[in-house]
Amino acid sequence: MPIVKVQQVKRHYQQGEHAVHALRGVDLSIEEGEFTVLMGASGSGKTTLLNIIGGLDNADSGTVEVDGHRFDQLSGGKLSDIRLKRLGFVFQAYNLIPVLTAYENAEFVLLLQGKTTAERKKRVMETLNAVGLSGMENRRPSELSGGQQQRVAVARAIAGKPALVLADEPTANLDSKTSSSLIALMKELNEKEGITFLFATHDPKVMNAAKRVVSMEDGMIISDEIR
Amino acid sequence: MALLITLAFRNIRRNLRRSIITLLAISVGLTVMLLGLCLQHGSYNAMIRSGVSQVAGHVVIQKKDYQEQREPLLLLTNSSQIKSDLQKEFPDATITNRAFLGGLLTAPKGPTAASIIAVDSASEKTISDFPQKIIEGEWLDDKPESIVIGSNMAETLGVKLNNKIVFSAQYGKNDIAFHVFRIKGIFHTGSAEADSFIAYANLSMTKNILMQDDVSHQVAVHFEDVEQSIPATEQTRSKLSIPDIDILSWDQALPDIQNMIEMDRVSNAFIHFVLAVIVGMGILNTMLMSVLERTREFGVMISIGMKPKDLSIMILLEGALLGLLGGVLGIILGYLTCYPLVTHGLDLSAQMGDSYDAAGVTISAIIYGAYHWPSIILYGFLAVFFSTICAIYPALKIIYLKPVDAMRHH
Repeated sequence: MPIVKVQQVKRHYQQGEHAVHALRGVDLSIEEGEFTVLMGASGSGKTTLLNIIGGLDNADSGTVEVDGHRFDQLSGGKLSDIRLKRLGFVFQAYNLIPVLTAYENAEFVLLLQGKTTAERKKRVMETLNAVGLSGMENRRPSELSGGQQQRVAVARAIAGKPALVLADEPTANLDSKTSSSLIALMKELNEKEGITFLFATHDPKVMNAAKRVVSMEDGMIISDEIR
Repeated sequence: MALLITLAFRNIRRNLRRSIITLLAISVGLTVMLLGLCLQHGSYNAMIRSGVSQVAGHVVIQKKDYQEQREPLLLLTNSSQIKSDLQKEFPDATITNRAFLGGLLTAPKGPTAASIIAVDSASEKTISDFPQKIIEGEWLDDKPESIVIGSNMAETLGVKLNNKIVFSAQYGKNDIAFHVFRIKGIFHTGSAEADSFIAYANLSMTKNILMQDDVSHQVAVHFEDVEQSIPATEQTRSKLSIPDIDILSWDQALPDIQNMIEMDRVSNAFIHFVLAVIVGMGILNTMLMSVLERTREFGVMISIGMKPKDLSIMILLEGALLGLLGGVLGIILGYLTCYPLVTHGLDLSAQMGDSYDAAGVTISAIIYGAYHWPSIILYGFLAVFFSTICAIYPALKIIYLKPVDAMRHH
């Protein structure tokens, strides 16, 4: 059973009097364990599709099914629950909670999940170790470099053991070396822990690492290449 | 909840300058209110203490309807027996009998209207502050001809110590009665009304005027603490079985003072409410700015699974925490600001003379502040309550936040 199943999803935005069609009837299916990239120029609709798959935005029409749940049949609370327990997010601008330390940012999702102190501590140390941030637990985001912040964001995304991690331009604000290191990290997590990754990016390094590249243009999928 | 409290606390610390300004607004507002409360309760205490000591008591026994009619012939008979019964019931209290007689005092220079308070001189000396106001001579002894008059009255009558003056009065269908006094002392309170019209005499003189023995208008029980008034009044009502008498607590015996205090309380509460609204607007502004600045962050938190309801609770907690910190700071500042008023008082004698009259009672122009802890604690809680109320609107805005829109916010 695919972990993501998108059928005939359309989404438009109103800009003044003009309707901008961000998605024009998209079909996409992603299997568990995939390392997939949505590729396309700015405005192609890849971020919109990622947001809809993440339950952060609603489709105008069509159906979205993630991990066996159809989003149009869920209440807001249930959708929050799925985002909390089954999905992980990595954003372009890191989007860490500035008042929390690296440890607390990674722990945040586990706290919301209601895990015990011992479970949280074990898992946070595991994830921070996995992303190479051992020893930096007590640093606040403002005390970390961009690459380190994005590693904390990855740690936060995977701490809750999600079925799917959605990453929107995760390397856009990073230098080339840091980007490569982060991609390698996510690839390793995909291979070792079996976490499914779906990226929206136009970074060639991410595309080179991907097992599958879905190209978008003007709100439609124009190619779907498995490597 | 622990997470939400931690986040709320850290969010307050995040923009420290803004939080400090808001905390100062809350605490300074609260300090001003507590200063007002301190003077308010101090002046209430002074009014009650003066009223109770001069013309009433914490428990007052009078003939039925005397309170409303003030008819001189509504007398308590066997008043010394009532006093002795009450002394057995309240051994630690000071109990006095009083009669209030209006009439004319005449001296060779001419007459003046006078209100004579006929008292048990020994008891009254421990209760009333008039004996401390004697400027010539001394307080009453137990002779029926002794009288203590005000300084203005002495001037009007053109009399000095040991001079004789004649009191005349007519009550009901009785003939005009006379009593000759010898001036034992002259007091000066600073209140023109008290110094011109009030005189103190021994209760034993009433026999000549009212033509009855062992009578008074009032038996008044005095305690150290005004809080004893209500329970002692209830106790007296249950123990004293004399027909046709009224047993009153201090506030029933002094309704004018009670009404003045109530009116003052209402007007002060209104002023404090306006002040709270002004401070509240500051808090609302802070909370709205703080929410607006963090819109993107809230979008992220909702994205990763936090329920908007929990975020709203976090905002309410931030408001409550600001109120709590501001409240504690305000109470500390308020306590310190009120301290000189409580210990040294506010001397208004330059503006009002040594004393002033309110509701028929002579009150010192030095107002001592009083810490009224139930009100102080209540105002502390109100700071938290108002601050939380001010966070409701910003908290509601978050409930309807869509994560994808919030994360586009800059």
